[in-house]
Amino acid sequence: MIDLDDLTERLRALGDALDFDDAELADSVLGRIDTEPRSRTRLWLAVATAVLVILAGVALIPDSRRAVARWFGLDGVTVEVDPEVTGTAAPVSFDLPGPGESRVVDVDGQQILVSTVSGELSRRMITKSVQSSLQVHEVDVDGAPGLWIDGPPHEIGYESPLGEPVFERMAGNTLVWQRGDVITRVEGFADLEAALAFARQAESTASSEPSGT
Amino acid sequence: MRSADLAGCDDVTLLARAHGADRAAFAELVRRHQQAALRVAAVISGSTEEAKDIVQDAFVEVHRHLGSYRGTGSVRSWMLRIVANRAKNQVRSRVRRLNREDRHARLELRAAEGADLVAERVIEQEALAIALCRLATADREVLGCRFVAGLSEAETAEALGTPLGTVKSRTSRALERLQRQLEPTMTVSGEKTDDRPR
Repeated sequence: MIDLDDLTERLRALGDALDFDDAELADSVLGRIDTEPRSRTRLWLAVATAVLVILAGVALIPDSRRAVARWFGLDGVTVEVDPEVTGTAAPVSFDLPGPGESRVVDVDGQQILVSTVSGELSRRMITKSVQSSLQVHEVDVDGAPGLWIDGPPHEIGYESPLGEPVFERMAGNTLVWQRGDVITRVEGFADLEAALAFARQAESTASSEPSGT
Repeated sequence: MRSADLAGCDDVTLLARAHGADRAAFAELVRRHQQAALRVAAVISGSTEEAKDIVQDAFVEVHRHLGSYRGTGSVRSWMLRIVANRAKNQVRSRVRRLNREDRHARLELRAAEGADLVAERVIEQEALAIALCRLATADREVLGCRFVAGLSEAETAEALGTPLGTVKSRTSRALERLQRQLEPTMTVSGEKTDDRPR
């Protein structure tokens, strides 16, 4: 069997042997930067849209829900917040909201925001702008890929409806996972274990429904 | 264009100057880290050819977001993370449809010297590339960043968005799995159900 030290040396040698024609790379990048439309106009349009959504959100929904509203609003998904559901649902009976919906549930006295959106979980979108990679952890939610983002307030970057990257500051710990083409996001749990327990319970509730697959 | 002045600057200074529209400073940053970036992109995408496009796109993205560097990690790690994320997206959108053997075939190895000894080494490296590509995605990424791209453990953690402790434990487990992959008497199928790339 190959010695592990020898193996790491072979891997380093493999790196040295990889063939890249990179002499022009910096010039190519500079050329792209010079010639590509910087899209400031588009970016400002996106920001303007964001501001409108945020203002609308501030006017219509309680403080604790603004983060979700911004996230979904900017992602081009309509947020429907129903104040009546606040604090009324226990995790045992909790149903995952449908795509584009968000709900607030009470779990042991904590207000937890739960939202879903159709689309593919993009690690680029979620992790790019956190303050430290140590805030982002890959997790498994009953076989579904997920991310747990904790620690200091973090930003979530994603593409606006105009295709521009947008960054939003988020305040609470967040668990995001993907099942099929639906992304579910919960915010507000103090620790990962509680968030995972909730997610698994919600997932099993959803999958045990007659209409589930 | 690459002045001695820039060569003596640290990355944070270069980034600040680049943010102030200093093209030469940004070009210096690119040149300084392009080798690691290309290797990171290659090991994640499984293609040296694709790596060039990924890195080019990623560095354009880096330039767009020079103002969002927070200073919590090194500039190099921050740049490599953007590269790694781009590469992962690329894999998700296109390369994952190819089987793993296809991907190893596109890791082009340098074989310019031509001697028998070199040819033997190339064959050995190809076998290593095949074994590497047969590993689970997470294993391949961590070994690729750590050894093929030559990143430190902290840089690997930053680039892959994985906790440092996970990088350490995954590295040693992945090395053992790679070791078994390279063992000629073992078959590679059957025992690795849990390790398949998602």
